[in-house]
Amino acid sequence: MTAMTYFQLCAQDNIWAMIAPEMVLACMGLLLLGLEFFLPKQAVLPMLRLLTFGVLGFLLAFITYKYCFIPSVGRSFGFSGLILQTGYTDVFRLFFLLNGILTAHLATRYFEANPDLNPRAFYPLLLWVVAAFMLLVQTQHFAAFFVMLEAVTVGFYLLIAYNSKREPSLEAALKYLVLGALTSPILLMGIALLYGIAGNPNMPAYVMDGMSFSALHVFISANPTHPFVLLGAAFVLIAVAFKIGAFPLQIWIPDVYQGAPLPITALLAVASKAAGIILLMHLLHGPFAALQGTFLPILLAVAIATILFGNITALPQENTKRLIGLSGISHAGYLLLGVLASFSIDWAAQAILFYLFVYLIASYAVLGVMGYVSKSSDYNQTIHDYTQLAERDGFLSFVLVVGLASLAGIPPLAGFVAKFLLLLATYQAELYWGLGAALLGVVISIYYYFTWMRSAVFRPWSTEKQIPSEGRVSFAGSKNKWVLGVLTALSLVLGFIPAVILLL
Amino acid sequence: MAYLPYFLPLAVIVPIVALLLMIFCSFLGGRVVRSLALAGFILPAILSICLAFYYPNFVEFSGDYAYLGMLSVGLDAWGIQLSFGLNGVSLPLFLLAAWVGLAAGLYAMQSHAEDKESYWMLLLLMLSGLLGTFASTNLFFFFFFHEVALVPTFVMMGRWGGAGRRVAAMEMAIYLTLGAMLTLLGLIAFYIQASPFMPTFDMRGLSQLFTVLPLSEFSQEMIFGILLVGMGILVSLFPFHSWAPRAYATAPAPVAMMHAGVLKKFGLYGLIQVALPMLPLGAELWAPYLVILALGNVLYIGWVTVAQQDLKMMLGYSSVMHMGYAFLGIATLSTLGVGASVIFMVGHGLTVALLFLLGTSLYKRTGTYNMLEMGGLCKPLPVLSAFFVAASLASLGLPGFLNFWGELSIFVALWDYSPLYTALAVLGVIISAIYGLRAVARIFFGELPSHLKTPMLDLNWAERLPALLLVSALLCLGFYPAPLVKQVNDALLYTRVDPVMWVNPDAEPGNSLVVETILDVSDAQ
Repeated sequence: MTAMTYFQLCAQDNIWAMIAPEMVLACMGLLLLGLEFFLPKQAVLPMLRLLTFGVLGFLLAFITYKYCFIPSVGRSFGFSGLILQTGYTDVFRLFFLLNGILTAHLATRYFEANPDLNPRAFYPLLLWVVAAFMLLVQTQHFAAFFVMLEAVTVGFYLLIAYNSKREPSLEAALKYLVLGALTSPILLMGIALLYGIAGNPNMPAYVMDGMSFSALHVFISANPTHPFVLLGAAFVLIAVAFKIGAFPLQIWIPDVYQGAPLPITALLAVASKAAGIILLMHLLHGPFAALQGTFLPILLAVAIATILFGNITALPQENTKRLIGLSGISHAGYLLLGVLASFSIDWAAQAILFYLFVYLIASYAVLGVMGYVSKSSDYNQTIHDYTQLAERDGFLSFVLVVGLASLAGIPPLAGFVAKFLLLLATYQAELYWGLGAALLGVVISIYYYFTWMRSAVFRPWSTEKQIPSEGRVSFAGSKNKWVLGVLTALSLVLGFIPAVILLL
Repeated sequence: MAYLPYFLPLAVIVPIVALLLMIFCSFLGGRVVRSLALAGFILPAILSICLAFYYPNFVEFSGDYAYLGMLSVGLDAWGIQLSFGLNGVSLPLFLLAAWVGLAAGLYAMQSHAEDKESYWMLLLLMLSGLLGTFASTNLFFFFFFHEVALVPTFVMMGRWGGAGRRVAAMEMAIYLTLGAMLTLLGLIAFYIQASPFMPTFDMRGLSQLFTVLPLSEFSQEMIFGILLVGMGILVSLFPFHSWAPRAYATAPAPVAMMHAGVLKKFGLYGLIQVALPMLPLGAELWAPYLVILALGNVLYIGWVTVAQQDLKMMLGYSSVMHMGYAFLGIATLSTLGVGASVIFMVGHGLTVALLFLLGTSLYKRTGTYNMLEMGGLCKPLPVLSAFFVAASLASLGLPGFLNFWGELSIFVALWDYSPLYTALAVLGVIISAIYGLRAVARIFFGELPSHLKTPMLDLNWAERLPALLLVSALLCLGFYPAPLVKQVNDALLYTRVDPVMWVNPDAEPGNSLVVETILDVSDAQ
């Protein structure tokens, strides 16, 4: 084979149509950046929003159509084995597109409350991060894996620091940068260890391409106990656990969530966590499948510690963004249990996906309410800012109660069904300690979720009404609240009729 | 007649439909919303009466479920379907839920609470949960509907409750979730145990499966223990009761009526319908401990009740105390005792709802719950005092009220189990006479204190109607409990709550005849 034919073969393998949605997002991001060169100044911002929502909405509709009506071709590799698309790829894409569109929605409100911020760079960055997320969960090769993970992380460095006039935002970005910069080399080290040992001709079943997931799968199945393999896999998993916020790598979460702009808090809480869980599933069922037995006890201990840490530290928390972060840690713990259960229970993957969607719906509803209740800087918003929300805005308090109850996992809301299925899988997989921790966690979580709810709906006992002075709270009227209404309705409908899980 | 089976899901859904219509028709004005809420409370009661009336026609063989129906919600692969049906045990409780729901709804309609529409909506949601709990034959939805009531209860306590509600509501929410999670654990255990043969949450399927292939002794004992503690918390079994009196004392009247009257029976119902038939060996192991705890309810909580000066706290504690009798009936593990417990639950539900209603009406007139500050109220409030005396006597178990049959049969069943315990349990009746009659004496007789001498209006018709509904149900069933008891007895004989029958299905269930004998007496009365 000449060099020329080699390059031709590679080029033929690059079927760009496979990643058309990601390409559209990336190109649209570029276009948005250049918008101000050929549009009058006052038309830039509306156009920016229109195009962002337009492209996300179009892709959402397109992929939904494709997923529902065009039969999937099964597994197809692309780009010389860098990416792998399965029937689930479109589900993941839909998930991240939903994240993008809801984050953009939160951002609209955020920029209204912070008129001194220039939103022009925000939307392109958001589109790129969403595209990177969508590619990240398709990667089948550690080179692409690393690049996409870094693309997401670098995007977050910028987005977290977006409110650069305020110290908390910068502080959060710096913390995320330092810790992110710490985990990237660990990931690289892990990849290098695996690559090195897998390509060693002295090893049995050594492979040429020690970064491809399928090659590594073959190699690791043949050498499941080699120390370099274990060390390399552990390093890779550590980097993924950092994204998920699993104990003991959860330490950045409260500070970063608190300082980040609210829409980015949402993106971190939902999309980043979900991507981590999906990657963990890919790795543990792909290249590291032979190591399941080795990692199961460690991951179980991590899951239990994550659930308990998240719930217990959230108990005294009054800052709402920190509360979202800490309770999010416990949700990551429940999801980790689902990942462990998936080693022996087939449908656990379905349950995890359902949980992710339900978590998305409930989280964005609660964060949406936080956006409406927030002062211009929301990093020190506490649950006391919600006092008598029911009197001030009944609709928002209703959305908040439904969202929190769904996060707490109380019937008739979707959160209950999701949690129930995860617990069922955990029980069936005989992870009794994990099950016990999860049940305990649910009981503990009632306290902080209901404290928040109590703050919003209870009337103070004293006869004189103490509504906080209006200056502290700004409501945006009923504009765009229908999004919250839709999310709330979804939480309710999916609770009564969770049939959508069959689509997953 | 052919459409009757649809009445059952209809009754469960009607309150939710009414709720949704209330939201979407709010622009039509207060009158429309009000009548929608009223319809949401009244229709389930009418439907449930129809269901009960034609019930015998729909039972294929003695003790079976009637009105079975099923709807897929997309979780069939996990054995979860929305399936409804009524058997002899669930029918009385379903009726109780609809009836107390109606009374509570009517009482809420006349209240002067702020933001009444949301109040009614939350009550409707709660009512739907109550009806669904007792109508479900799938363990998943049995649990699901019970938990539906948690958030509405919490919100209603906070918005319309009394003093101390912040702490009481939170304590209740955490305690109930703890109980619910343990119960859930037990229910999932059934599924896991059954899944090698038949992955299902269906009560009837599981019951049949575990009859053919009984669970190992160890799993039976473990699951029963978990369920007993979990459901014990929900029913306020001593020593897991501390949430109940304070929660009822602070909750608004309709919530206390529905919760203490109906929702709390979930745990007892679960033990009877699920735990006893499927876990006979577990029941045998735990019954002696259950008796001790139940006597703790009767005697210890009884004395605590005597010490109460706050009327609502006293009512809360007395409802906790009476749960002890229901547990005693279950702990005898005999058809008679368990059946008596079901009858007692119905009687207690109606009585305690009536008492909470009257207590709140009394508060509206006197402005206090402190019994020491009241007195001589029978003169200005003759109708209210008549109702209150009737309710107190019903609560004591006076013949003529339904509670009498429940208590008496429990004592008869308990005598077979242990005469000593029976003597102790009967002592409880004296205790409840002490606090019940003393409360009546303090509130309604004696000198009218000077600060209450301002003219007071007696119960108006909007308050009398729900009270009348409850009293008439107590009296009607008290004089003629036969139809109810026959269904309970048939169902219990069929599901074999008595372990003796479990070992030997053909054994003549001797003590079941006692129920019939007692009831023959009641017929003759």
